[in-house]
Amino acid sequence: MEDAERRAPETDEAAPAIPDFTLIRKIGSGGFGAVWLAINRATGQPRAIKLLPRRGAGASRELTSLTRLEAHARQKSPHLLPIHHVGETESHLFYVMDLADDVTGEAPTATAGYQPATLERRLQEGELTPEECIRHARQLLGALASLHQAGMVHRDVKPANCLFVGSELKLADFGLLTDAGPDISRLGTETYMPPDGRMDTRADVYAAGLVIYEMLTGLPADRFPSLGPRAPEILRDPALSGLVRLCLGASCPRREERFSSAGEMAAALEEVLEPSGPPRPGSTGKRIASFTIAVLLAGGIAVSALLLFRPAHERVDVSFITAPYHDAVVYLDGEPAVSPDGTLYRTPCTVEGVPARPTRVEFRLEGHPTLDAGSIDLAESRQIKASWPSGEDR
Amino acid sequence: MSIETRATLLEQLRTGSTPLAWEEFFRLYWPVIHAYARWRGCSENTAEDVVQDVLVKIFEQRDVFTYDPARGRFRDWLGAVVRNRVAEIRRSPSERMRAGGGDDVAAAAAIDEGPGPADRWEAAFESAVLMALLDVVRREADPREYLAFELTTLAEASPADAAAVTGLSRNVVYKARRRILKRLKDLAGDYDAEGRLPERVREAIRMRPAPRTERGLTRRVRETMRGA
Repeated sequence: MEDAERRAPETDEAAPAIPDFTLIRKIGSGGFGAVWLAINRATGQPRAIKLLPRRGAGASRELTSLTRLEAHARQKSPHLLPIHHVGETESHLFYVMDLADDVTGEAPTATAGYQPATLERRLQEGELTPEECIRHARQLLGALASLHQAGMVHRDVKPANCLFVGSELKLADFGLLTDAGPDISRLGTETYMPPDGRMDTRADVYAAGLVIYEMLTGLPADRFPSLGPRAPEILRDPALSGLVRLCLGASCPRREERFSSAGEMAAALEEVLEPSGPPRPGSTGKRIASFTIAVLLAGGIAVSALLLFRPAHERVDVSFITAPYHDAVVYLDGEPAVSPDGTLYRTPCTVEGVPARPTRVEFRLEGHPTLDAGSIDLAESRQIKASWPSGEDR
Repeated sequence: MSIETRATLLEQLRTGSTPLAWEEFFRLYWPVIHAYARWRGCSENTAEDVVQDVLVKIFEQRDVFTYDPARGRFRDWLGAVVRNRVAEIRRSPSERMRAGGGDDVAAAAAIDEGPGPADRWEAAFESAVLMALLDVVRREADPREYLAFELTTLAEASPADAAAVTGLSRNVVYKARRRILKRLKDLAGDYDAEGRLPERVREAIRMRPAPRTERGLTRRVRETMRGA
C-alpha cells in the first residue's frame, strides 16, 4: 500500500466521529444522508460511509432494515454494493461500503481527485453500447430481484445510485430501503416515482425501466418513451428493440400492467434477448480443434504420427431462470456455480464461461426440493428454465 | 400549451420561483437559447454556458420582471437577453478560451450581415413551442401508443416496425398515430395553418442538441438553481 494512503489525510472538520474510520470528505448525498470518503485507520483501506442523521422514530427502523440488508447483501447478490458494517453513534446511523471505481476507470483511492463512477456520470458521455445496456440491465435487475425476494423495497432506483465497481454495476444507496408492505411512504426521486404513488416492488420496477431507458437512449428519464436520435439503430437491432419493450412493460403508468417484481422483469429480459441476443464474450460459435502431425524420421525408421488433440470445449454464457421462485443456487455437475468475486450464482442469472458440453443442471433453494433439470447440452441450450410444480409451499 | 398556462407559469416564476416552475421554464426555453447560440457560431461548450447564464440572469431578475400577457412581449425580452449574452462572449477572447474554443467567430460575423438574427430567434422560438406541444401530447398519451406515433410519424418507420418495437398490433399503431396527430394539431392551432405540422415537428426535432448535451444542461441548470 502506498505510503501516501497511510499518512493522515486532511479531514473535513464537520465530519462526525465514526469508530475506526477517518472521514475525509463528502462524495455524494441523497436518501436523507451523505456519503463520505473514508479510510479505515487500522488497514488504510479506503471505503465509502453513508451517514444518516438520527431523527425521530424512523432511525431505528432504518437500522433494522440496514442490518438485514448487511446480512443479505453479503450472501445473495453480487450486484448489491456490499455493506461491510452497520453501526450507530449518538448522532448518526452509518454503514460502511465498498468505494466505486474512480471516474477515470482506475481503482478508487482516498485522494483529493477521487470521484465515484456512477451510471449518472457515465450517461453524461452519451448512451451505452448495446452490450453494455444488456450487461448492466442484467446486473441492476439481479440486484433488485434479490432485494424483492428478501421482502425489501429499494425506493430510490436511479442512475446516481448505480455505481461501477470493477466496471460492474452495483446498486447502492440504501437510505430509503424498507420492508415491502402496504403502507410504504412516498419517498424517493420524483422523476423515477410512478404516478400511482405506491412505493412497492412495482415502483422499483417502474424506476428500473426508466434507468434502462436512459442507458438505451442517453436521454433523461423525463423524456420517456421518446427514443431520440438512436431510434433508427433501435429499430434495426432486435436486442435493443427488445429492451425498449421491456422498458415499456416496466414503466407503464398503470401499476397493474407492470411487472410485479424485479425477478419477473429479469426473467422477461432473458426471454426478450434469447432469440437474438448479441454475441457475448467467449462465445465464438465454433468448435476449436487443433491437431498436430508429427513426422519422425530417425535411424531408418520412419514414423509418422498424427496427434489429434481432443478439441477444447468452447466456453459459453448460459442463462438460468426458475419459476415461480427466484434466488435458487445453480449447480452444474454437482458443484455450485460461483462468480469471479466468489458469490454464488442465483436465478435469474447468466453464468459466463461455462463449458459447452452436456452438463447436469440442478437448482437448489432453501425450503424447496432440489429442482433437477437433468443433463443438458450447454452447446445447444443457452437458456435453461425450470419450474417447481404448482402448489409448492415455501 | 395555452397562453393562459404559459402566463401562469411565468407568474409563478416571478413570484414563487417554485422548483417545479423553474423546471418547466427550463424545459421550454433552453432549446431555443441553445439553438440560437449555436446558429450564432458558438461552440457546444459556449452554447451551454449561454443557456446557463441567461437562465440564471432571469432567475436573479425575477423580482423586477413583470409579465405582460400581450403576445410576444416575453419572447422579445428573452431574445434581447440572449443576443446580448452571445455578443458579450464574442467580444471577449477570454470567454471564448474558457469555453474551450471552437467558436466560429468568422461564421458569426458573416451571419451578422445576413438576414436578421431576429428572424432566426423567431425560428428557434417556434421550434421550442412545437417541442413543448409535443411534450404535452407525450405526457397525456399511453407510452406505447405515443412511441408508435413517434416512430411512424416523426421517425418515419413502418407500422410493422413500430408494432414490433412497442408490442402493439398494427391496427392499434394506426389508430394511435391518427389520434395523437389529431391531438397535436388541435393544440398547435395556427402552427398547422399550412398543414405541414409533422414536417415542422421533424425539423424542430433536428434542431435539438444531442442527448448528452441535454443531460449536461439539465444537471448544470439544476445545480445553478440550487446555488442561486
